Amino acid sequence: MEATRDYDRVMSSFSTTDAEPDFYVEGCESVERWENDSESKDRFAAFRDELAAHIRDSSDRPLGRRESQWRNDEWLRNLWYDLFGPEPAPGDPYPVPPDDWGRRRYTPYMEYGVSDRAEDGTEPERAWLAARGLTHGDLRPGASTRPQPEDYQERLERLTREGARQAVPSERWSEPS
Amino acid sequence: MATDETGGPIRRSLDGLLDALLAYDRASADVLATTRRDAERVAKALSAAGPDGAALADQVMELVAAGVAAAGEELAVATEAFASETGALSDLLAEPPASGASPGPVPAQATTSGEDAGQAEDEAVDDALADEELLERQSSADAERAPTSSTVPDHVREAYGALFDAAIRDDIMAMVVTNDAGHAIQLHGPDVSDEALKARVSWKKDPMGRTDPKNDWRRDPDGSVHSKHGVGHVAGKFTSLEALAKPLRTLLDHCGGTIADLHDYLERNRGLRDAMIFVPAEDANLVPGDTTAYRGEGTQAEETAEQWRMQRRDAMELGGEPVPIVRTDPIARGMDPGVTMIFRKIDRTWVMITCYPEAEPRPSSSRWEERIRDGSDARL
Repeated sequence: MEATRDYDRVMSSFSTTDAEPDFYVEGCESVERWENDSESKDRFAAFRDELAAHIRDSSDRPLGRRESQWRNDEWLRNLWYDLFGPEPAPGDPYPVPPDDWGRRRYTPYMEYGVSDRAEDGTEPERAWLAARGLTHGDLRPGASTRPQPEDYQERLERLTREGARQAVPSERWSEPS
Repeated sequence: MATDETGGPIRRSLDGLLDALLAYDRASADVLATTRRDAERVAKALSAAGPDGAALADQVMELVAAGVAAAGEELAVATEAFASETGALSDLLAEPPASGASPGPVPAQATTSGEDAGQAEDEAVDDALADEELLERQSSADAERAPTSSTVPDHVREAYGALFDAAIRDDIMAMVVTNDAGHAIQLHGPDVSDEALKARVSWKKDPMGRTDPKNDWRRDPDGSVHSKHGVGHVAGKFTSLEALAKPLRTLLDHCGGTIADLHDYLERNRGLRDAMIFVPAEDANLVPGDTTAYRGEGTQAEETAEQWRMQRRDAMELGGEPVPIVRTDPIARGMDPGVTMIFRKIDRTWVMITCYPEAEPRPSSSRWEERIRDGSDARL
């Protein structure tokens, strides 16, 4: 399915990392509140479900016009981890091995939310790390995406045929004519 | 945090260069294959040509145009990645490696794309040379001396307020200027100096000089720099208060012109906490010269931006060479430029947290813009 308006509204706070990553970091530190606050919990639950569906179906449109669907999917997996932890989104066809997070797989929260040194850490940052079984010393700056799997293009074409997603402009040469 | 076990920044740049070369090669091959397929379709169509020659000719034009557009777009992306990685590598090689590590020989890569690849490589070299000419670097010592200011002088406040109708001036002042949460003018206003922008993007120094744990900035005697100030690979500003006010005026006009209308609009379009609104440059009447920014060299594509941010991390942690930056005008040079405004409801009223120029919309704001233009309910 296409992204809903409300998904976009919630997602917009996470999409400012080029210039203002604080909004992303603050969002990751607000999960508990959003899950429990009566004003936000239904919207946040709907966002979580829709995020999982987009990871499953590669149906969220890529970051900007230069990015591929695969890189966008990988970005969503990072966001899922940053919000909800190492348990993959339900139905994720390419889950990241749990032990990779922080060691072989680097996320925006790790880049912008975690201090270089443990002694500089804030309370929310320590809680974030502890909930994921990580320490400051565990983190290794590195790649935020993996190479595109061999069967990925085939999967995209099938999902497009089945109507679970729409092809994006960068895929146009693979569209059936 | 430990440095990369596999050999540090030069090694990473090499890896990035090779990745970019491979991506370039794949993309070029795909595009050329597509063009060939299109040409075959054209040939088939023509061979079956009967009385409807004119209609077929139109079809030919469409297919050729689509092929050329796809080739151009893909080659441009690949070329840019290639150029920036090459630039980063040559910069590092020009400096003696901090760790004494040798990059070793670069393995030869076969390209399969023939003449077009040759031409694209020429373009890549041109791009790299053009970027070289614009390159700047700011030492961390200069960053330390860059001025900071967290206050908005009274004459600036007044000048900003004067850009809005008297009827809503006080409300706009409360929303943008006279609150503790907003920093649009302090971080992105015309008085932010070039040195402060460079220090922000190169060494994560807060132009406001805040000393809370998230913004504190320190340069140690060994040259290492410590900061968690939130900035990605670009730091930009408006060159005048008029330019800074343009997108908000556009939004106000669209909403109906009163502060209550604006509050309603923000309420309808808020996320879980903030309302983030992207206004395309043309809708806001922003023109080249209205904005300026420093961005990391070669950061137009996300994968190369990531490499650049790791170089910055290394430079800060190790007290290394300054990262290469390029001056740009996001409105003049962006692919799909505009302004992002972020509003937050504090004590039952909306304040503008920030307002900054962008070369292109980010994912959800991109859709937002399309829906605005589609004429759906959040129309601008």
